[in-house]
Order: sequence, then structure tokens, then C-alpha cells
Amino acid sequence: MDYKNSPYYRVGRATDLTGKDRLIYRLLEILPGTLAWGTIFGTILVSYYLPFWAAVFIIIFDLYWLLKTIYLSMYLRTNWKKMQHNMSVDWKKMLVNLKYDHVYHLVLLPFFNESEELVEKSIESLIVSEYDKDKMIVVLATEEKGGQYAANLAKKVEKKFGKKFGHFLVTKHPFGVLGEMPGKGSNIAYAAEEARRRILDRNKIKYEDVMVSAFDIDTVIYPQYFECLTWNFLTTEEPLKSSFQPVPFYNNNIWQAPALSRVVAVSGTFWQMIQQERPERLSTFSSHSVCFKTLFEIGYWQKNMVSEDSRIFWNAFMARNGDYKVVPMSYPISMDANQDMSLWHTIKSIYKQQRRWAWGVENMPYVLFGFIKNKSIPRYNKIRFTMVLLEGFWSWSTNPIMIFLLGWLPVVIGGMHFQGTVMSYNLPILTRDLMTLAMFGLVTSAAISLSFLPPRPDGMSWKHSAFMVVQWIFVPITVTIFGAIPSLDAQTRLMFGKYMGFWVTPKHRKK
Amino acid sequence: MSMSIHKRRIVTVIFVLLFFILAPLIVFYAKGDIWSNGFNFLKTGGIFVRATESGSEIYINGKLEDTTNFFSRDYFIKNLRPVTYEIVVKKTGYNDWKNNLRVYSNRVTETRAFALPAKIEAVDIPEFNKTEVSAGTTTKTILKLNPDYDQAKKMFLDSYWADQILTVKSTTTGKISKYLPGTKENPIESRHMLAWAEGKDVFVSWTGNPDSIPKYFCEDGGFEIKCQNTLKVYSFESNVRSLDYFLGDTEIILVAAGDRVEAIEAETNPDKRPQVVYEGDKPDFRLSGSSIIIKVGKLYKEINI
Repeated sequence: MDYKNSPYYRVGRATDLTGKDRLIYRLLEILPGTLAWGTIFGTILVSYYLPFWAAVFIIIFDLYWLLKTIYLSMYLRTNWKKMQHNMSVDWKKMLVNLKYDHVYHLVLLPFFNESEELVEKSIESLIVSEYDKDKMIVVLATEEKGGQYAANLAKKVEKKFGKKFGHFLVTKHPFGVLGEMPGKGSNIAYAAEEARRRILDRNKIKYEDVMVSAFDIDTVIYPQYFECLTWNFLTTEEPLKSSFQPVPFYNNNIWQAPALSRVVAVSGTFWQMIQQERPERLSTFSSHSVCFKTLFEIGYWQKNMVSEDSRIFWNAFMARNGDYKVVPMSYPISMDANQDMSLWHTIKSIYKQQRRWAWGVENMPYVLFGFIKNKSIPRYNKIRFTMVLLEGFWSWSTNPIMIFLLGWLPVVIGGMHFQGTVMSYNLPILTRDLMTLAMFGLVTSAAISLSFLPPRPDGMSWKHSAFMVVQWIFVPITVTIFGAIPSLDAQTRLMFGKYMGFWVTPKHRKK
Repeated sequence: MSMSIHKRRIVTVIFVLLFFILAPLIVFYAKGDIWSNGFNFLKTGGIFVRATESGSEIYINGKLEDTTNFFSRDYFIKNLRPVTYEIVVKKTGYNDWKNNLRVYSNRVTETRAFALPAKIEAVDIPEFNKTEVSAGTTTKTILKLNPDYDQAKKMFLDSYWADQILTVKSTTTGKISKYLPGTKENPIESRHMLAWAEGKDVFVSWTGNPDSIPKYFCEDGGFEIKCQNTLKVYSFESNVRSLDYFLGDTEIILVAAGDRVEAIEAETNPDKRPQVVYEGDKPDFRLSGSSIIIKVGKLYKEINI
């Protein structure tokens, strides 16, 4: 049976299954949290009972971290050059020798109750983009739960911008549909189907000619985003077996957002840039694009889970028996860095957003379960992605804790005999030295982040620019508090079956 | 512009190889095994010196190795061959501190260099405070009893320590014995540490959790650490009159014996010598906050270090 038509294809969580399948899926949900906590408790226990071996492990781990930092910095630098090139290229000229006037762009803008300014800025960026507006279909995907405010704003926006595009559609995703989880996935899946019914079919637009871009409501595109996307779509070998991933910048409010928020946001950008250079590890994240034909065939975004942005890739991967990939665009789109009413609210928002992203761990049981059930996926692909996922989520939740919190543990609890060894004295010294070397990578990070900054707004002094560099000293804090801990939080919730719902990131912009 | 998959694989292999080459080298280095002649590893140890004063010069076998500063009064030297080293800590105006330390393979010998100022000033506490009052052409000197003197005097009376004196009644003879603080029967206790004197000898004993026993109760034999609960600190030339912890520091014992009040480290350093706090005719002392009150005959003096 085609995996797409199997009962496993749309599984959201273990409770969607029965019998042995449910047990296997549940065990797979427990796996990431067990690995993470096993590592942490293992380090604590070994530090107490076998402090020498714990110290050996930590020193080797520090070395691994240093080499990994250098290794990944190399990819970051490569992608940075590529991004600079792609941002300077005239993509219209790149398309000259390609036939592309048949390509439509369907843009999905999921909207809950965000501000008018935010919505307008996003749509205005579509207007000022250089792609033929007649070939653009814009869908403002509202939620019934958004109430009268959302409905009124949608009407206002449609009135103001409706005529600027080939097609403009406002959809209202009904609240409380059985089997759906309220959130972006169910909303844009509904909006995509509405767009098919009400625009594509009525206007006889071929599905294979439509590129769908699933954005966030704060997504602001760069002027030639659609030209770049079109070029990638037309030149990639198997466009119907590919999703297209831009690099998320958080430049919309980068000058106004607090330093902690900026560091977290730009770190996210860097991670995506690194992944763009390793496309075999890449899955879709946040704003991404895919051909409508593919989207229709795989059944749109899954509606019963939170991290629909990555799940759509895994859905396609499973449906195509592993013959599916993500094409890195190395071209930016811009979104909002976390910014709430106060610094404390912002800190809470960053944590919650990071935890929602880390909840992407819910894809791990789905994928591993799919690997067990789908016999048509090549074994090599299964092994490779299993390792990538395990290593990825394990690193995310444990590595900073290991380095910044547990690195000194054997010295503290290792007992008198160990405390009198050269190893005990060398452990903190070596950890400090190796980490200091690794921190030199931050200089590269600071330089690269500066090169992508939008111009400094009027009224801000050179001190703001200087702080854009100094802020990188927060990295040890951000990778632990806004990296490892929310990830551990998410994995622990999954481990205990405390499934998370969709949390809408508050988007406040300071004037 | 992107690296080809082939190139990326080569880079990955290089990093993996680098990891497997560097990991054992770093672990051996961290353990104290350093590359010697050819492919031999030499097992080394280290010395850790904790100086009490910043600006102290640390000499190892006569060679100046480091000068401590405000931010770090510790000195750690590693990659030492496992033999005995002479450590001297010097600071102008302070007593020199000396110790011979044995270094063992893969282990660190730790020590604390306690040094007192070479000259310690003892300020007299007068019995009376003088006040001069002018009345016309004459000046009168009024003597008022100094409350500090009175307080100091009281500190040396048995009644002052009444609550700390141990009274034991023999069940067989009915005889009542009284033990002053600092005797074997009534040791001074602070943070699980007992200190007492028996004649000329001073002892300390650990009563806390064996896992938390201070290092100076233990002897590091390289392979095995032997700890003893009771340690003979020093044997003075005269009987000990009184003893206490040096201003709350349980690693230093303040002792009045013979014609001196001296401070001695509660550890096994065979080269340690008591450091003179006060020299006079059979002085005795009591601690008062951060001061040492000295009694010589009927005179009382105050020392602040």
C-alpha cells in the first residue's frame, strides 16, 4: 500500500494509533528525552562514582565542541559568501533565458490577531517586489477564533490591497474542527485548499505552475525573492520532489529588539545558513516554498500537530519513499525578532518560541516510525536521517548544559582522591581554554551579522552599532537558557506525553 | 560557490581524523603524562600553592616561579617530575614560608603558605584614660578607668569562661574536676574541628563527615590517600598555657607557650615553624572579634593583624 494512504501517514502523536503501533510510537516519543536526561544524569553519576572517566569524557566533549564550532563556522562563512552573491545578483537577468511567465506564486499569510501595521508591512513588501503582480495570488488566512478584530482587519486589508495582485483571497479557518489542532498548520492547509477551489480551479491554473510560499504574518520579502524562487524552481532537477528554503533573517525590528532577543534570532539565522550548506540534512523550517502540485498530492500541511513547517517535508519524504529533498535558496526573507511589551515579557516570549521550535522533536517519532513502517525508503537514507535527527536534538538539549554547567562537576563532587589529581586541576583549565578558542568563532559571527544588518535608524547612535558586536558575549547564556533548556523542556514534555499546543508568538514593534 | 559533496566529505574526514588524533593527546596531557624522549610518555605531577597575601613571591628549588596578585593568590605548576621540591614563599615585611613537598605521578600536592607580618605591633591598653581640664591658670589631670582595660582584664578571669569550663564529677571518688577550654577533655570546637593541648603538644581532630575531612589530615601517597582523624600539630618547648583558632581560621592554631604567643599551621609540613605573634614575659592571650588581646603580668595589649 502506498504509504500516503496508510493510517500512519498523518499520525500526530502516539494516541492517534492503537495496539503495538501505539506502543512503538510512544517509545519513540520517549527516546529523545531519555537520551538527553540519560546524558545529564549519566554525567552527574559518573562524575561522582568515576570522576576520572567523567573528566576524560568532558575533555573529549570540549574538543568535539571546538572542532564542531570550527567545522560549522566554515559552512557559515561559505554560505555567507553565497548569500552576499545571491543578494547582489539580478535574478531577473538570471531568468532571461528561462520561460517563466507561466509560474504563479501563491502566498499564504496566516493571521490571528496581529497588528494592522504588521500585516500591511508584510503585504507592502509583496507589492514592492519585482515579480509580475498578476501572477501573484495572496491569501490572508484568518482564524474564526480571531473574532471581529481579525475579520474587520481582513476586510480593510482586502479593500486596500486586493486589487494590487492578480488574486487576493481572505479565508476564515473555522474553529473547533474535529481532529484538528488550532494553529498555523490547520489554518494554511485550509487556506491552500480554499485557494485551489476558489482560484486555481476556477481560473484553470495548472497546479504544477504554482509555487506556494507559506509565510508568517511578519514575513517581509526582499524585492527579488520570487525571481530567485522561480529560478530555483525551474532549474532544480526534480522540482516536484523538492521544497525550497530561504534563510530567515530577523531584520524587521533588529535595531529595536533587546540584545538577548537579537542574539537568539541571529543564531537561528546562522544555523539555517549552516544547514543550507548541508542540504542533505536540511528540512523545511518556518517560511518555505513548495510547488502546489506536490502540496496537493501530499495533502497539505498536517493539521493535528504543532511543527507543521518541518512536518510538511517529512510528509513529502514519506509519501515519496525518501525521494524528496530541500533546495537551499541561500536568499533571505525577513521576519521579526522577538519583542514584547517589556524585557521580561520578551524573555518569556523568546523562551516560549524556542520551546515551540524545539517541539519540532515531535517529528522524530514520526520519522523513525515511518522508517519502520515504510519499507520502500532506502536503508542508507533511513540510517542517515536517524543519525541526523538523534544527533541534532541531543546536541540541542544537552551540549550547552554539558559545557557550561557540568564541565566542572567531577572537580566538585569527584571526592578527595580525584581532587588531588592533575586531571582534576587541568579539567577546568582545559575546558576554559578550549571554550575560549571556540568563542573566537563569535568574532566571525559578529562580523557576519553586521554585514546583514539593515541601515541604522535615525536617532540611534554609534553605540547601538557597537552593541551589535558586544552582544555576542551573551552567547553562553542564550545557548543554555534559550537553547538547551527549552529544548530539554520540549523533549521532557514529549517523553511524558504532555503534548504541546500551538503558541502564537506575540509581535510587538516599538516605534 | 558551495562546497561539493566530495569536498565536504574530505573536510569531514579531516575533522574526524583530527578529533581522533587530538583526543588521546589532550587526555594524556590533562592526566599529567607529557611527551618525553621519542615516543615515551613521562608521568608528571604538580604543586598548588595558596598564598595568604597578594604580592607573594613563590620560589621552587630556589627559582622564582610566580608572584601572586590581587586577583589570584594561587599558583599552580604542572609537568613536574615526581621528586621532592623546596617551596619558599616570600613577601617583604612578612615571615618567609618554607616547605619541602613531594610530588607524585599524576597528582597535585597542595599547600597553603601562611605568613604573618615580621613585625606585629601590640598596642597597650592603659588602665586609665587621662583627661586634662583647665581651670583658670591651673591644669588638672583627671584619670578615668579605661573600660577597654576592664573588659580585657575580665577576659582572663576564670569567671569570664565559666560557661565554657567543663565540670566533671567522678562517679567513684565524687571528686569534681574542672577543665578549661583547650584541654584534651574540653577541646575547642569550630566547624567539626577540635583543637587541644597536652603539655607541650598541640593536637587537632576532625569530627565531621569523613568525606569532607580537610586535606591536611591526609597524606597523599600517590596511589593511596591515608587520612587520620587526629593530627599532632606541633610540639612546643614549653607547656601550652592556652590555645585557640587564629581569628576563626581553623587551619591555624594560636598558642601561648613559654615567652611567646605563636601561630602554627594545623598540617603535617615537617619544616613548619611557629610564627611569632607576640614575645614577652609568659604572655597569655584571648580573642576578641578580629583582635588578639595579650596579657603580660598586669599589662594588657591589643593586636590587630
